[in-house]
Amino acid sequence: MNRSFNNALSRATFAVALVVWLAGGVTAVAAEPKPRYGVTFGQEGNEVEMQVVPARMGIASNAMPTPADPSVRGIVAAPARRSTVPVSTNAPAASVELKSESVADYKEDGFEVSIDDVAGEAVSNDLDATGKLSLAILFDNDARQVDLSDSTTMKTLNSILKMMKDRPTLKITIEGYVDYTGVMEWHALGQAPDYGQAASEDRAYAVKKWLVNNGISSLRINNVGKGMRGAEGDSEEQRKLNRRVDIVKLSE
Amino acid sequence: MSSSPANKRVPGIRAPAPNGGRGFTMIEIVVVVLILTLVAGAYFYIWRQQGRLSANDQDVAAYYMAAALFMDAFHADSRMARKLEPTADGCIMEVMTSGGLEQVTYTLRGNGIERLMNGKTKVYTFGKPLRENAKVLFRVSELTP
Repeated sequence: MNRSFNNALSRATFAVALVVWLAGGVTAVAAEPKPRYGVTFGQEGNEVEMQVVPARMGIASNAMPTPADPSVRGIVAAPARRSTVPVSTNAPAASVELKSESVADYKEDGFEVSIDDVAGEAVSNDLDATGKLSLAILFDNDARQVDLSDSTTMKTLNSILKMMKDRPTLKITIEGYVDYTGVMEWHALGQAPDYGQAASEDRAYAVKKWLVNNGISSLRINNVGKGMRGAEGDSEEQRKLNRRVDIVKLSE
Repeated sequence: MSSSPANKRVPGIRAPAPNGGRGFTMIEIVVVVLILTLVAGAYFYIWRQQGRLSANDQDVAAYYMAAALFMDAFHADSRMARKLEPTADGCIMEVMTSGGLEQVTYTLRGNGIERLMNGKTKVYTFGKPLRENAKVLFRVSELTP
């Protein structure tokens, strides 16, 4: 009786030890970081960058990235369709003031901005009052994608998203801009003359894509690139403001 | 030798034109030719500009199509790769296939990237240079975590 009890106890101990060992091994394998490789290929000046992780079979995240994937840089997005709707450019511009929480507050929260927290109504009222809004979505020089890690940008995007969801018949045009200095730099680097125009179109398209990915019908959003039109001033702050995106109310 | 009265020039009366008053003067013809030349020149200029733009668009489209094909092949190989080793002009992958462990080598060759596997090569080219004297680049490097 005592012997069989000891046998059962030792077997149970062995089984538990085996399970612990296996679990530890699996955890270690899962936690082991896979080496990542950066691949740059293509013609000089138009090279494409991508990242690959070998031996990641069957993992969806390792599927071939689309051109819009953040891991791929260099592929020029398809040219945005030109707006066929006449847009009034006479409407006065107004800045969106982020009145509530400070940027630091959002950074402390890990950039978690809920759609319920944003000042969608303020944006909505400002758009109605002026017909056109300059959004607090600023881009770095030569950047064409929205910086989703920036809390101000996320807050602004969520404001627009909330407004579009609250007003389901509202149609807008998103206008992208570039600054004069960037265009000159690109020209000096030998880029095509319409590089700045393409960059402004991509900026508008990036914002539209974010809204569409978050449930807004693409039929409600026009996107146009304005190049460096409307850019004024030569200070660093002004140039930064010129690398922006505006929205214009089309109809409702 | 005296001229007939019909051929005598009468002062103040213009002699009728030999073609009976029809046709154009040289100045009229020159003006018309100039206008036609200007119009044709403008059309030719626009046509040539559009042709250049179209050719440029085609080159860009062909370039990114070729880039997408290369990306597709490279990603397919890397998904099956057990190991990837960057080299000076490309990389070598150890790939597990149905025939066992094999090597796939990607190497920069002139104006293209060559893929070598089982003695079979395929060269991915990227079409006409989009910029003057633009070379093809190919770099693989391990990223620091």
